[in-house]
Amino acid sequence: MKFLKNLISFCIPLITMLFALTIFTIVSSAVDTYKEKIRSDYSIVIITKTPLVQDTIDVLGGIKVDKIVPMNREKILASFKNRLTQNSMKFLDQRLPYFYQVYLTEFPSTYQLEIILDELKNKPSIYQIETFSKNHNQIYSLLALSQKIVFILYIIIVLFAIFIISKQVKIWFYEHKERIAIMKLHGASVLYSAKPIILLTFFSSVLSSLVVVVFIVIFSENSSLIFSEELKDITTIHFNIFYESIKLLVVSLFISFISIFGVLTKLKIKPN
Amino acid sequence: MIKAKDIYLSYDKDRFIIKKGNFHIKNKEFVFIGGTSGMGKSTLLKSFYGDILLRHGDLEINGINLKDISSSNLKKIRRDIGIVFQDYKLIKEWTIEQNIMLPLLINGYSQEVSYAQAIKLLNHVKLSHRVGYYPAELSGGEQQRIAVARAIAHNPKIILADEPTGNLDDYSAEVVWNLLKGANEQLGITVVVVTHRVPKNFGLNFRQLSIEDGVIYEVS
Repeated sequence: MKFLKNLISFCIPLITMLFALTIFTIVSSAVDTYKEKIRSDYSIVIITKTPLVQDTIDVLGGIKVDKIVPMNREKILASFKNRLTQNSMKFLDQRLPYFYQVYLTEFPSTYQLEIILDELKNKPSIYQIETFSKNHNQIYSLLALSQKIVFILYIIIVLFAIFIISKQVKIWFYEHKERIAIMKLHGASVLYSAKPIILLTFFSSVLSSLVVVVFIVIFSENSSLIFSEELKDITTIHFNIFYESIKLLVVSLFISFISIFGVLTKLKIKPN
Repeated sequence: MIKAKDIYLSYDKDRFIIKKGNFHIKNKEFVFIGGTSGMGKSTLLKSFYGDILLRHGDLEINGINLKDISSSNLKKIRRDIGIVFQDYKLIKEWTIEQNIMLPLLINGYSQEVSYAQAIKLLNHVKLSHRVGYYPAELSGGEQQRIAVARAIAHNPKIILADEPTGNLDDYSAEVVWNLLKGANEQLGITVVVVTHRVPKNFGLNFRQLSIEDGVIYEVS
């Protein structure tokens, strides 16, 4: 009964922390999916006086250029065909600049966009750049904000988990202080005396990871029950269960042992 | 071997319980530390296993000086000592054989070897019929026999006993004295016992130290 009580008191903060991590993973994945979606649609338009030598632009703002697509010049000229004389058309053809759409391999941040703008401005053949930064900023800021909020919440929950687990470890030491004192009088190390709590923490970590993995399996099979239809495109996440299980177990063990060894170190520096 | 040279012991900086203590307890000796209550007998015994800080002087236990002792050396000293307390200090959540196994496991013996030794010692202290019992299910005398069994389980160089018969009736006290005498005579373990009353007709050569006003002296 006591073992079960101890187990539950360790599992609750761990499960909460692992759930927070899973939610962070889901949100990050959804944001990444959405970023990828808008990345494939997003392009920077550049206007040049002469045809662009595309090989000279490989990387912009630290992001690899996916492709540079020339905009159809003939189409623009065709729209003036009926309204202008042949001479005027010829003149227009000579003077009409070249339009290009630059696609990137990653969706740029506002900061990266500023660098991209500077880099493009430094190219002599380019005389006009349109980054659509207003729209870009709004969408990107919203995504970045949601991701940051979830991350901050996750960190807060991790800190709380460490705090609660440390308290539980302290309580355990307090409950077993007589036993630990006897063991120490016989020359046992703090680590030896703490063997049961280390085993309990290990067991709690495995159990907590298992509970959250089961949740992930259920969630990935039934995500439509939680998210509405319009979010389906970005919330359909294909979890690699093996990878997720290992990740959760490692995080869970790491947090548990950080807490336990924190308390042990504190106890170890006390005399006797 | 316990060697004290000009030792000063105290719980606080100003009031010394033991002042300028000098003595030498040789291997295989049986030594009583006597004196009236509050004179510092238990404090002196505690200093042997590093439970109280040595303020001044040198105190050597099995060749290791307790002055400015490191944590690992303190563990080393404690692993080579068996301790018997007046209040037994048995782990109540553990069975009696698990309690006897404790020093063996701490000294690195396997579970199997430790268990076998615990059973052997339960026979030795005539409590083999109590295997699987918890300390609370035993009488005070029986618990103290378990404590003695635990103290000799790992064949230590020294056994320290603090008023081992203080809570026991005459019969149980005699059993405990016989066990401690046996440890000294048959196993060659140095035994140091703190007691305010040395048993009559002890039947074994022993030395007696006494403490008065913080001064340790030999009783002839």
